[in-house]
Amino acid sequence: MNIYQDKVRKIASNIQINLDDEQVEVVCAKVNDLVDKLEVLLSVDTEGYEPYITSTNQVNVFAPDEDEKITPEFLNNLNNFNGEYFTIEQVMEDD
Amino acid sequence: MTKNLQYFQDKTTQEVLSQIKAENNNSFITVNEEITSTDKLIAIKDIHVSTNLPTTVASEVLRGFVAGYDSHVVSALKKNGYQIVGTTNMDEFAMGGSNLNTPFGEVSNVFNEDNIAGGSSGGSAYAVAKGLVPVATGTDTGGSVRQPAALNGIYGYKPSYGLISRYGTVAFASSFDTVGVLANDLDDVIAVSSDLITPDHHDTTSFIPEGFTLEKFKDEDLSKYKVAIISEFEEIECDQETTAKYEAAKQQIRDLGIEINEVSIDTIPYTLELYVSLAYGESSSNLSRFDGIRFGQVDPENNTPFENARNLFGVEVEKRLVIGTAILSSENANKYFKQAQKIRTKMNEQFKKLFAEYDLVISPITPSTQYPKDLDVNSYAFYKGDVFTIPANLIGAPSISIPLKGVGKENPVGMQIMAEKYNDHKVFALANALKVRD
Repeated sequence: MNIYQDKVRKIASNIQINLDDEQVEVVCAKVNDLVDKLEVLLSVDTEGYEPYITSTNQVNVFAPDEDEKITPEFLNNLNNFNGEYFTIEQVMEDD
Repeated sequence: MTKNLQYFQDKTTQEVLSQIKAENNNSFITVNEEITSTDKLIAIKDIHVSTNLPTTVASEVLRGFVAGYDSHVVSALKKNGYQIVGTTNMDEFAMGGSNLNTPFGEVSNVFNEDNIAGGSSGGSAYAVAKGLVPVATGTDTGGSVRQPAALNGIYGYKPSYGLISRYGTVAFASSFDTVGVLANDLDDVIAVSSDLITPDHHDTTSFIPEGFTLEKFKDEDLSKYKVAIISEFEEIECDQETTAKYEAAKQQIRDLGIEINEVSIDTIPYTLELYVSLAYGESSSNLSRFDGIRFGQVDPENNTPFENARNLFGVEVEKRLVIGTAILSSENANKYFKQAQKIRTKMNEQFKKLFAEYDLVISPITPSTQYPKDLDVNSYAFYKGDVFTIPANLIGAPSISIPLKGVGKENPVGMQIMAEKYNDHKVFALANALKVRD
């Protein structure tokens, strides 16, 4: 992964941090110093290991979904259900 | 109550406050003028919110911020009669290992003002090592309690993940963050930690196993213990002083009748890369709450509060947020973040197997006894020094740094003792047996 100055500008803009050109150069150099090193992670054999999801020994207990009203017929009658999920109008403009 | 927690009882509150103001050398951010006694004095890292002291996390973003509630740490201390004498300096948002990343003035090493105090809980370590307070709190995300404790020659304890509630402790990387305790005396570490380890429903990760108590350490038969040293740790080059003291400590442990064997954990070499991927990723999400509206100084005339607040972050925080956001972006999350989480699971499994056979793991805390301030303390090379401490955070294990040369000795060397999660008493059993100074 190499993060170029344009990418740093875009990320900084997304998280609303103002960086001038000089700061972009400094941050970009520091960022690349670290992220270059992350490539090594891809060489580790993780076959058979699931992503780590909890730091505690607690187990979540979920109640079964017992809402009998949400039947396939009910869903198919909704005009914004496309068979898998609900669709809504676009709220964000394309980049 | 331990004798040290009553150590200041012959002084007046004014004498204690005057000494702290005169000698704290930036280690305190706020001094509490309203303490009513000098019994059970404690300083808290400037990261636990309270209703009567500002909490800044050493950031301009929160300068002057006073919370509307007490954190678990503060309410537990108040409930148990501690006098919170002030808040201590730190690296901004706990990001760093030097205590140079702070707008409240650099904190120096207690033995040499040209060297770093370490961090991020450097203010707490300095204040304790200097004798301004008998005990202080810290937080440990990758070694932030243990490393400054080691560099300043005192004890620093990171409990098992979840034993001390993080409610009201400002988050850096939630799956790593652990409240810890620093003190000159091991008994003080145990006394204060025991008062902080109480159930708290405000934090969903707060968990204390039934029957858990640190005091169980007194009943342990050390001659039945087996201690592991990890091959990948042993291969890390340390300075002469550290190597000599560490080898001497191993002999002391053998002299107690304890067997020491070498074991390999082949995920250890990826420790720092795991930390950068996961902790920075979590921090970029956690710090999005600092929007210039809910916390800190709010300027009603400012039309861009979010942007305004975020431009108050220091350079190291900005750097970590950019990296964390890049790692969590759609193009990298699956490739790096998810892979790092799988390796974290693998490391947990490997340690689980190790602890099925061994009671404890030992290692140095840092490769060197001291670090000069003119080093690039935010570089990859410097962070590499955290390789001994980060694994305990990756697996949620208890770990302590003990001063091998004895408390108050120059060029101190810290040794790590780590156990399986919730076996904190085993850490104290060995630490107590190796206690250099009573």
